[in-house]
Amino acid sequence: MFGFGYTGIIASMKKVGGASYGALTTAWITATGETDVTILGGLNTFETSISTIISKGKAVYPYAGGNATKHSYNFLNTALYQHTFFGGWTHNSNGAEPNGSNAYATTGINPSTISTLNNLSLHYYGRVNSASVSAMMGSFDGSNRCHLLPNANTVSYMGINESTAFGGSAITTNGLISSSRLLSTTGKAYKNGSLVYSDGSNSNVAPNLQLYVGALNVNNLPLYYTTVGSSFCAVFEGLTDAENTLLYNAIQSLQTTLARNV
Amino acid sequence: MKLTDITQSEWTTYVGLLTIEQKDLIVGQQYTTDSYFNPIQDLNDNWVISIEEMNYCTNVDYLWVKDLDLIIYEPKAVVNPF
Repeated sequence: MFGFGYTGIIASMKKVGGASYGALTTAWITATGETDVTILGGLNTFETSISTIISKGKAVYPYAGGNATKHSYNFLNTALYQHTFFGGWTHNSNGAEPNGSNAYATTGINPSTISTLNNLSLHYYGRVNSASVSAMMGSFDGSNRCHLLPNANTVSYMGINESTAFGGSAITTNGLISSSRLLSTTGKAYKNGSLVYSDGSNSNVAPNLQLYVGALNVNNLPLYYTTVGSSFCAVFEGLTDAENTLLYNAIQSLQTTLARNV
Repeated sequence: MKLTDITQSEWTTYVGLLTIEQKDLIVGQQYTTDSYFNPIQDLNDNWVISIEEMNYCTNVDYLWVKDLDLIIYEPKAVVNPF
C-alpha cells in the first residue's frame, strides 16, 4: 500500500531532533508536528515491532498526542483514511474517548474495497470495561456486517463480512479487542492477542459502507454508540493467531511506554 | 440549568437543548479544530448536543452553545439488530 517495502522504509530513515526515526514515524512528525520524544520513541519502536506484518496494515490510529487533529491521522499513511470526529469526544493523553451518546469518527475505510472478502481484521484497544449493545467500530448494511461488539451484556457480536455475526460469550472491553477472518468458514475473536473463540460462521458479502469508530455505521447513520475510550485502533488484512499476538505485544509495549496500558 | 451548574461526572446525564434554528446553524460546523457538532434527537424529539461539544467549543461563531439550557438526556430506544 505504500509503494515501497519495509526495506525501503528502513532505507528512508531520517534523523530528527537528534534521534533517528523510521519512515512512518518521520512522516508522523511531518503531519502532526509531534515533538514529544516519549511518544515518538514509542511510535518508532512500534514501527519496528510490526515490520513483519506492516504490509498487511490498512490503517493504524495510535491516538497519541492529546487532541483531535493528532488523533485523526493514520500512522501507516498520514495522507489516507484520516478520521473526522463528530459529536462529543474527549481527547487527552490516554487517547480518544467517545461519550456514548453522539460521538463517532469516520474512517473512509470501506470493507468492500479495502481487502478481499476473507482477509480482514479489526482492532480496538479499550480503556475500560463496559457492558452494553454498543460498537467499538464497524459498519452494517442491514444484511452484512463488519464490526466489533465484544460485550453486548452477556454475548459478543463479532462480524467480518458476513450476514450472521459470529459470537460467543461476552468479552470484557478493557484491552485489545480483535476480530479476524482468514477463511470463508471461520471468524475469530481475540482479547489481548489471545484467541477467545473461533466461530464457524461463513462469510457472505462485505458491507459497502465505511467503518465508523465509536459507533456502528448502519446505512450511513451512526448507531450503537460506545463509551469505551480508545488508546489505539487499527484495520489490517486478516491476521493469524501468531500475528495477532505480535500486534498485541507491539501495541501493549507502546501503551506501556506512554504510561497508559490497561 | 446551565453548563456551569454541573460537574464533569454529570456530563453523561445532561445535554444542551437546541431550537431547530440553532440545530441548523451548527450542523456541519466545527466546535473546535477537527471536531464537528453532531446534533441528535432525544426520546422526545428534542434536538440536543452533548456537554463535550458545549464545553470544548472554541469556535468563536458558536460560543453561544455554552449558554444553552441543559436537560436530562433521554436517548431514543435502539432496537438490537443482532
